[in-house]
Amino acid sequence: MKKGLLLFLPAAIWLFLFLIVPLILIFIYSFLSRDMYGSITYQFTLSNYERFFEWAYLRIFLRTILYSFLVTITCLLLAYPFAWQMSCTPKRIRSILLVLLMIPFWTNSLVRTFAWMTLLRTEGIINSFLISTGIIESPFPMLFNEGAIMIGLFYVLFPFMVLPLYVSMDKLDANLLEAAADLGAGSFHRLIHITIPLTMPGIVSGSLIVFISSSGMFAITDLMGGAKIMFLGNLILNQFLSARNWPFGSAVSTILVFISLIFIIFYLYISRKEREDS
Amino acid sequence: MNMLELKNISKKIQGSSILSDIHLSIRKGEFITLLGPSGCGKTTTLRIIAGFEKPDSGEILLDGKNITKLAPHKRSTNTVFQNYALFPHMTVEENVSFGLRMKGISKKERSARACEALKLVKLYDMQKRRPDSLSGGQKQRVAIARAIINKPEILLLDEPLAALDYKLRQQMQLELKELQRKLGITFIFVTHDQEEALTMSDRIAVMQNGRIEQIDTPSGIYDHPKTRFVGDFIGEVNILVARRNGEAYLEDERMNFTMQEDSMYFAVRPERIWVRRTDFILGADDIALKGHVVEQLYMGSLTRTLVKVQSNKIISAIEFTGDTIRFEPGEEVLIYWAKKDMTAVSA
Repeated sequence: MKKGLLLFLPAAIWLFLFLIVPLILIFIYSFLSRDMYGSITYQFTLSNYERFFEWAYLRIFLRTILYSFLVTITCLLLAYPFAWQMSCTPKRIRSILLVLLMIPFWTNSLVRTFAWMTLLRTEGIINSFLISTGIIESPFPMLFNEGAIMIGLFYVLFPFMVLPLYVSMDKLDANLLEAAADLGAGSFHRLIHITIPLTMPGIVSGSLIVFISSSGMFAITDLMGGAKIMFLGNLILNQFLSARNWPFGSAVSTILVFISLIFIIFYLYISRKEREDS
Repeated sequence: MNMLELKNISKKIQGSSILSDIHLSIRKGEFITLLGPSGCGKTTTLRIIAGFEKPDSGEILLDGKNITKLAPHKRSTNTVFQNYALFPHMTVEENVSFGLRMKGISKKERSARACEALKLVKLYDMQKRRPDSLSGGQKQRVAIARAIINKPEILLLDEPLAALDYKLRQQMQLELKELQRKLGITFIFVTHDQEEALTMSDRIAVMQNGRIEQIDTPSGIYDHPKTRFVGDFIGEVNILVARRNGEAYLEDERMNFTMQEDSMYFAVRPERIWVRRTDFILGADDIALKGHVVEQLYMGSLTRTLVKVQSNKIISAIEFTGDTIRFEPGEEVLIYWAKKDMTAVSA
């Protein structure tokens, strides 16, 4: 065996044991049935998948896709100028900005979500402030709705959008923008014809990371949505922990994994095509 | 008529002066070269003309209009960048026609004109290729085609040939010169290569430390350098020190000419100096120094003779090998040159 492969082995074993095997188990479970006490019975069925297409569940699925999409777009629109500004600042200040961006990661994401809840609650900081200054009379419902979930997801996932964007912008040759300006392209045309096409790898990978992460989140949707608004992550969690319907939970998980896979394959296809083109 | 004028241009970057008080007048259809060592401010001057950098003071006039504050995309100048700066995600044709696309010209016309521009730079059947698949010389041609397609008033070239190998560079020098004649566009060319500057330019501006030391035709610069730096930077030069101490002394040898100042420097090109035996009879306008041969170096068609004169300075003389008299090291000789070939330079 070659030395390179040998070095690869620990990681491969780890991934196999703790990622591939559980995924295979979940895949198998998704075709099994359960008895009335919630134990798995080894009987092949497609009913778990059929059940997913009932409107109650399909709605959760569509809602998850819709909100993940909205969160991704919001992150992209706000992170793009942010990352651009960052790549324009001098190197010394840039590293400070990067650290500032990473600092929230040093705190547990649940703690950060609770912090958001104290801000947004009916008797929370923002509402009390607005009432005391007389801007509003009664508290504005900001928590336990879709908007709050969006804020929570956006807040947690924003850095994951900034980083790949920043990397691709950092690689962008400033000379190309000068060349475009020289040839008569104003700032809008430079953005459309040069900057966006050349930072596409960052846009796609950032969007994928945010979209896939967002579609599997459960803690934030639970806390910020007040356990009222179900997302796929919550559905899976419920099936495994409260409803004790492992086969159905597995089927939903499998569907989620497959959707993610489709996006990842799409991404690989695009990036390979790009490499072949150049 | 002057089409471009730089007046009093100064620029500082992070407190250090990059350009100080640049004055430059460029005529229509002229091929002018900014020549100097790296860091002399030649590229910054070009970038200021293109609009990528703003001068701290001074103004730029194009056809009499003040364009100092005009954004680069509104200037009728186009640039050929040193690293070509081709758009990697576009084909050759898309690169070349980018300027036309920004002007809103139809796709059909763009394609036809791109084809024409590529023909001008002798690049055929490459329209659909990507820049990555081109050689250095081909990229260079695409960059030139892309810059001339807009028919700019001034084409700015930032060391465009620096990355090419020697042979290709010489070929491109000829082609650029030909192209300039054909298009009648004013070329402002930046280089640190003196040979390139001498071959191609109508006029050369020699720069050092953010200043223009001398602007003149290639032969003017070569034959009559104004400063020691210009003489040294372009070609090879012997700098001779003259002192006035009652009488005139050149490298410690008494001369029979008169000096206006107490201390002067003179530049003499090695190929203007002849090395002869001590009994050689000088003409009336010749200037001579006595010395001893240090070494004779055979260089094929030319031979270099190094002679140590009275002041212990070593003077280099270059003659055609056929005209060279053979000397042994240590032999006493006379070196001389015509008075007109000696130029006073400022230190």
